Amino acid sequence: MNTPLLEVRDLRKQFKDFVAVDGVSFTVPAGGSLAVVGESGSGKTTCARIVTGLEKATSGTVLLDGAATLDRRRRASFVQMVFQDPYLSLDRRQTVSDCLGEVLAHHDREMDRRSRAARIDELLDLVGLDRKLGESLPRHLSGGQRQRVAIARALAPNPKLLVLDEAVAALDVSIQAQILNLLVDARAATGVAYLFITHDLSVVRHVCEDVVVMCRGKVVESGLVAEVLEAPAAAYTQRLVASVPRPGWVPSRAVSRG
Amino acid sequence: MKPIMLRTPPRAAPVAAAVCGLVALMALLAPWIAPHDPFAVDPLNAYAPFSGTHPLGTDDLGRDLLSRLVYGARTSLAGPLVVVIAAGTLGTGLAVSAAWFGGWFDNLVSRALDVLFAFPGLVLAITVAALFGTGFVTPVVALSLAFVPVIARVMRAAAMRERNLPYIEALRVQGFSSLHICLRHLLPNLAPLLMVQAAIGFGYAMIDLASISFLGLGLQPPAADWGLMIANGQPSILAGFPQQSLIAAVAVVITVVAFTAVAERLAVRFGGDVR
Amino acid sequence: MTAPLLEFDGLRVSLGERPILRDVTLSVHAGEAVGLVGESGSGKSMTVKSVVRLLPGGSTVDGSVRFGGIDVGSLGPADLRRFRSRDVAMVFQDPRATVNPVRTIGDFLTEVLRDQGVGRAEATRRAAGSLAEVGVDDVRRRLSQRPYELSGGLLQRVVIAAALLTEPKLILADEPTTALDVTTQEEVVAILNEQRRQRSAALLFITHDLELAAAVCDRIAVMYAGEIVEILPADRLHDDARHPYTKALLGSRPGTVPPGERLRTVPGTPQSALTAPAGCVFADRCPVVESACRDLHPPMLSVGSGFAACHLLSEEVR
Repeated sequence: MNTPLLEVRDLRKQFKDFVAVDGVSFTVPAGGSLAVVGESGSGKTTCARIVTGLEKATSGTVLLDGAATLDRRRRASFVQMVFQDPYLSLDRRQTVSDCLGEVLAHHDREMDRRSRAARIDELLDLVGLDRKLGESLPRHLSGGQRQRVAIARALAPNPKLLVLDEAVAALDVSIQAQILNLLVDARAATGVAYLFITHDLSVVRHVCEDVVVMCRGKVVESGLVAEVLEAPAAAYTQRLVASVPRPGWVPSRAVSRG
Repeated sequence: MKPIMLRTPPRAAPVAAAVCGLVALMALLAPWIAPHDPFAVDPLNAYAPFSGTHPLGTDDLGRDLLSRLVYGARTSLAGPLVVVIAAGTLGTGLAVSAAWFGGWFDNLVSRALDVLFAFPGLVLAITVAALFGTGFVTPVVALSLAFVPVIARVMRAAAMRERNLPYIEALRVQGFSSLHICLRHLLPNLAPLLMVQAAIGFGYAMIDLASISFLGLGLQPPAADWGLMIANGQPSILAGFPQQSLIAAVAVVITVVAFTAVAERLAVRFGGDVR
Repeated sequence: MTAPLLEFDGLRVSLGERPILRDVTLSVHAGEAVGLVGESGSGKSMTVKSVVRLLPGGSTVDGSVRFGGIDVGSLGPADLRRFRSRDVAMVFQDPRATVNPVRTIGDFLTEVLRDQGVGRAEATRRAAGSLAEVGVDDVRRRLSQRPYELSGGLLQRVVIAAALLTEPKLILADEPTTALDVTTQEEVVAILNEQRRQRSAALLFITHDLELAAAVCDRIAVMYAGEIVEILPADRLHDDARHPYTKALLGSRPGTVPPGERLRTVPGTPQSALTAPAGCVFADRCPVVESACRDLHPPMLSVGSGFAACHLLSEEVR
């Protein structure tokens, strides 16, 4: 069997006396798309931050392409991240081109000015941004456009794995649809794998093949999206699936006491 | 240090900026503007009234007051300038590294700044001047040190906010070094706030340095300095000639007010928290 | 038919030269729940704020908002305060921003009642009763707790309890569950719905989630760029939506197409009243736009089971 792109084994993260992630394991195959689903406090974002190196695990292993440790730059060209809030995830002083150019220069020192400019145009095309917007500052862009820039920046080093931390949650419905289409296209074009951190089950159905459901730091259920969301086995997953507003849905208060 | 907050009408800002510019220009071009040698003593012409040759009259030694005012702008501006540059650099450096590395280093820096903060800047400067001698350098160095915690405290809070923003985290995920992120991204984004802090600090430093000169612990006669002019003019006030103290005092007040007004405008513009 | 409880009549709000609301005409009857759905910049929050005259300083208002037949704009300061405290209640998105963090839940709940001259013991009794009704357990202890000791979902229930305490005729809820988890959202909207029905209070429910609005409300008004573009019964939303924008919203949710297929998207970004074109507000992004749409402002037409403002529907009406 091939080495998975990402293998997380028995991950644990403790903040002082609070256990955020408690014995979590999952894998992402090359080119795959795994959703980590859960509500606030489930530990899903902490998992994502450990995978990208923003946090250190208390114990457990994260294997990227079978290797436990990579230096900063190698790791960065392997796994990248897109954040939730498009208004805060770009440097407000940097134009789109400068933002992308800085990342490109960092990962490939040999790259000359002209091929860098060509690659910037290529990235802008990939995420569906007008090349003219390259000279714009973030404040002149809409939320959807900023999120496209953030995705372009994350794809710039040609990563094998893209971690999307609630990357469409802050967007308007019509923009969310555009970005979801973009993510489907970008995956088809580059073969990048997704680790999709989200609370939104309809988004999971749309872009992911596998799903891990987390609750209070633990994995309560995992498997194929089609199976887990259509016929959830765990009580928590059943509740989660049942509480999504949909045609004919009647909210009921007898769900829990919390 | 209590913040002086003025309700500055928006249209006052360009005027204030112009005043700041004029004062700076006066200091730079002093040798060409000043009608007389500011140190030329002419006892026979002491306490001369306003006239064509001496537009602001002369002092007790018959020195031309306008020339002394113009030359005085040099030390009076240079002092605060050095203070804000030194305190700004040191304070921001400490603040950013404390915020970036956090943990015990942050604790150490923060506690050390608290201790320094406990000494009123002016008292610290006076003590140091009394211990290490008067002049230009000693009070300026002491005051710079005293201003470090004032600037560092504000900058650290801002740097903390900034470093937790996703764009900084995105850069970390890109594998950039701490140094690169701090120098290229964090600092430039803090720069507007630093500008505001420096402009406010400039006003305070000016008052403090003038006070030190006034107390005789700063520049010594016959130097042309606004604080010193206020002090030296004191006996003349009793003699019925308040011009020297008065014009120097007015110069200090106008300059401080102008700088503070500009600072407030900058603060509103950049949304920085002045207090 | 009886006169509506709340009536927006050609409401236009602008801040200086900049329009915020271009034309809002909508009525809410006593005991009815109306969902106001739209994306950012559509003016849905501003519409709700205009009911209690919480508009930004310097804004000018044309048209009127009538409550029980009385123009809210004509109320004097004393009447306005009375109207705000007794007739309407507001529930906002973030409960933590609504409740004073340093005072107890009990203080928060009894404040308005005490202000109305209710005795302390009586106010506390009613507060406890209201909390119990919204499904908060261990009421005695909760009354003496402070906001930080409660979860977001629990705190939003406290806010709803407070809103119900004064027996308002109208509840204004501005994205009351957006900050909550889905399972908590279900409980909170269920409670809001149940309590509203029991007390036959009217509800103006703002959300960006069409499905949520359809589940909670009787009628749905879809807003875009400071205008209401379509009003229709909630249960007819999926079958009877006529306005291209409503259809676009319905079509852009993942789950409407099989996984992996492309979502039907509308190009561009949501506009505000300031950036929208002069004719039909949706003309710039509309997939079926015609030349008339850009110049002429479409009137609200009665189509099917509701109303929609679209030129293309005029054929159908005739």
